[in-house]
Amino acid sequence: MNSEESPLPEDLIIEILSWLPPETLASFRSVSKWWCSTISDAKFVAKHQSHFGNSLKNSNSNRIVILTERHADPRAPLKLRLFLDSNPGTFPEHNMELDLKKRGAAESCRIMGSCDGLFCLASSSCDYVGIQLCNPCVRWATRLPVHCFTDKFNPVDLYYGIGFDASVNDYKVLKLRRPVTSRTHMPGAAAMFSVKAKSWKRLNVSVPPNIPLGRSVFLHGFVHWLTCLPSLYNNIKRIMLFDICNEVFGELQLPEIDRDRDTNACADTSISVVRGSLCVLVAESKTDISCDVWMMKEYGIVESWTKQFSIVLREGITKCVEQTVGGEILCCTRKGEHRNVSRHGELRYEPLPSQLVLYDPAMDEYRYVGPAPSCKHVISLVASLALVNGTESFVTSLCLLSWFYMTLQWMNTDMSKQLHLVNMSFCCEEEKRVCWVRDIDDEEESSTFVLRGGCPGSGQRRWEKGWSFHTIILQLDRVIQPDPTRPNGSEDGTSEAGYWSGSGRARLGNPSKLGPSGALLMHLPPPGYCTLSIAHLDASLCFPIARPADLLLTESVLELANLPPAPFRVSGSLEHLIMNARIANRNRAKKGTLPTPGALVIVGEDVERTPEVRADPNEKKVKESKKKSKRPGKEVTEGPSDPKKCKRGSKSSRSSKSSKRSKSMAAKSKAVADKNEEENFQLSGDLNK
Amino acid sequence: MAPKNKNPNGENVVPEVQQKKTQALILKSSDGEEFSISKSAAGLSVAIKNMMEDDCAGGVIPLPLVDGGTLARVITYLNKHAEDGASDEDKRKFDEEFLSGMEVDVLCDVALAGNYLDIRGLFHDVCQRIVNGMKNKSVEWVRKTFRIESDFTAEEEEQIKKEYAWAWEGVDSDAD
Repeated sequence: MNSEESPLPEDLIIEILSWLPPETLASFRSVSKWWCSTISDAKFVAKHQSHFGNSLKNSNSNRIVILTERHADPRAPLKLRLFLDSNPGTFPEHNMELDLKKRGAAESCRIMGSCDGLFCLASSSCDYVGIQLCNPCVRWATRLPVHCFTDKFNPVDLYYGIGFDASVNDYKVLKLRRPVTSRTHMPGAAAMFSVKAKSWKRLNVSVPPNIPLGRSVFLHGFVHWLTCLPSLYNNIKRIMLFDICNEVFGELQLPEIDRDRDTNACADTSISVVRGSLCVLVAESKTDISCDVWMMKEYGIVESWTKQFSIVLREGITKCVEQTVGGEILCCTRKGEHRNVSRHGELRYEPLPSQLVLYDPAMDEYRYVGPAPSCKHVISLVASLALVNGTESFVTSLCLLSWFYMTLQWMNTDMSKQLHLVNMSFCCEEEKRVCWVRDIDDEEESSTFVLRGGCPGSGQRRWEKGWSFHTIILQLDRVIQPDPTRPNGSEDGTSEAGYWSGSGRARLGNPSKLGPSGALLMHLPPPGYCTLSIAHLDASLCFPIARPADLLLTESVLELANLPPAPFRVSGSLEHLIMNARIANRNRAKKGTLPTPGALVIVGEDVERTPEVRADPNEKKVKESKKKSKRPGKEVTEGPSDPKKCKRGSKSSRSSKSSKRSKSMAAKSKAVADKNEEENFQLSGDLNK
Repeated sequence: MAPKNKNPNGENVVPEVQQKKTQALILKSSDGEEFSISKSAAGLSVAIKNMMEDDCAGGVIPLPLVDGGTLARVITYLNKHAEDGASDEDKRKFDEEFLSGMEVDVLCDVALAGNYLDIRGLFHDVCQRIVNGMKNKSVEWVRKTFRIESDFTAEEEEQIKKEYAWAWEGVDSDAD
């Protein structure tokens, strides 16, 4: 900025900017580099919060975010529509796409909490699904590094909160696992992600067993959930608190909500923060919806709960979503409501989709917002610059966490259409650190997967020389029936101390697609054209590797890991895996022992052959062995028909063909990874790129 | 950083301040113009008040950072707000008219003077005025108004615009 020419000095410009709405500021970032860095500056964001943010508290300004329903294509990114309340009472609509490409994840994702214009999108049942943090006003969204409470894919009850820790000026995302429920039998657990530290931390607190009813709100240093107590099926509701700074739980009593109402009517209760005060909305639906709104006038003082108003909503409104930050009531109209349209003097009736309307209790007016999708995907937010500066640093930090890329390729493409890999994780031996591969991006109609892995937890964790993989866990979605025309392996008995052992407790796919015996066939085609068959597994398996040294990361790879934008790629690591499986196979063949139940063995292993050719010679054998098997689906095994031939084949291919292939694969994986990288940066404001 | 010292409109505004008030004060602008103002009006400016208390009571107070045209406007504002009979409603109306006629350049000068002379009410009002004018404005408008040259490369700018694409929807088409 040329200060001599400018009519205002910098500090006055900063003063003026601090009163502008965030969406205007977002665009003014491109005025000049100084403006860009100023607007992104943490001090400015704080100043903006106190100036613009406080000025909002006296206005009815509403910002409503809607996540649209998903398309038929599960891989399409989620669309997000933002409605900004403007002066004449209209809602101009802004669209943005949220990067939620992971299949299977988006269906279970909900808006789980909000704070200062930020909201988080996460899954209540899947531990491994990434959390999205989004500030729609500045068009910023990102995935947090994945955090898992355990490495097992058990069903869990999760809930979340976002808060701002004023003592360290840091936004924090809270992830909580409810203790023992009917579905899960695990103790409660809590973890907190710090945006500044860019890392997760396990919290040493005992999580209350309260059942959360809806999303969390943040106020005065506490994350609030409306919960009901789990005991005796009673309907006692409480507000559960979490002190984001001191990391302790607490409780807050609700007002004495009128109890003599019709007990059959189901009352929807929700909490929100309206102009800096905690509010509770009790919506009871009989024929029409009646709403009571309570406000806690003085925060923390139970006696200060005051009934603000009690109204009966207009006919046709079927659901109260929540009270907006401006104090109005956001509600949905009935789907398929008819509207009179007069045309050429005649009345016509047109069906209407469900609509979102805002009821202003002060003016007793209804305003139309827009078409309503699923109500769980609607949220009203304050406008804020929160994390406008998050993009750059955050994305880079993901890379600094030593992410690596791995390419997996389906060799038989028909399989890739039926199966997809949801998860792959590696456990490291040393200090039992775990490295997860979570984000899987696959191209449509492609047989290549690019897996991204890294160390969760503390940001200080990096790959160190000498670390090795210890366990690999694969998880599949959309499992398929074993194909009778394919070799299913032969069973040669029992027990070689679990080289491949299954732990299929969680299942993502449709159970009806499982084979009658519960067995499934998974073709994992690593570079050696090997096909692996798994028995007795729903969707996941884990297996220790015979010789961890085989999977050591090389030194050069480690160096690359420290360069932020250049994720290194490990191609063909599975080859080592397969090699070990081969050794196990051979040992079994020599000793005449049988794999353990649920074990995973190599079928039709031959690097020289194409998949089609490969299948044939074994088929007969497989069928024979299947006949022998009296426990179908328990274990399927097929050792190499000729160990010598196999060995020869392995050697020659590894030296020539395999290296060629790995080169081409590496090139392909690079292309895919680059694309992936581009997409990751698409929403972000990484200016360096 | 020094503000520019020219009257943006080039006109010489004569303040309507009468010398008849006994307790008067002379304010001297950067371009040498002298304005007399009653002490009660001048007292609305915290900065002038401090200067009066310090030493130069009764003397001439030089204001080297404020040019004549701007100082005349500021004095008009101060006189109105120091008027004995003026109600809050009157003052509000006056402020509205007072500010509505000003270009952004003038507003900026007044904001600077308000900040320098520490007149909170004036400063706040002028800032709000500028802020309201900036909402829904294009980046080009901002550059032109604040005389900023973009130091982004075309690619960098394109990148930011792409990221914040919707922020460009609905900006005022008229860049001026």
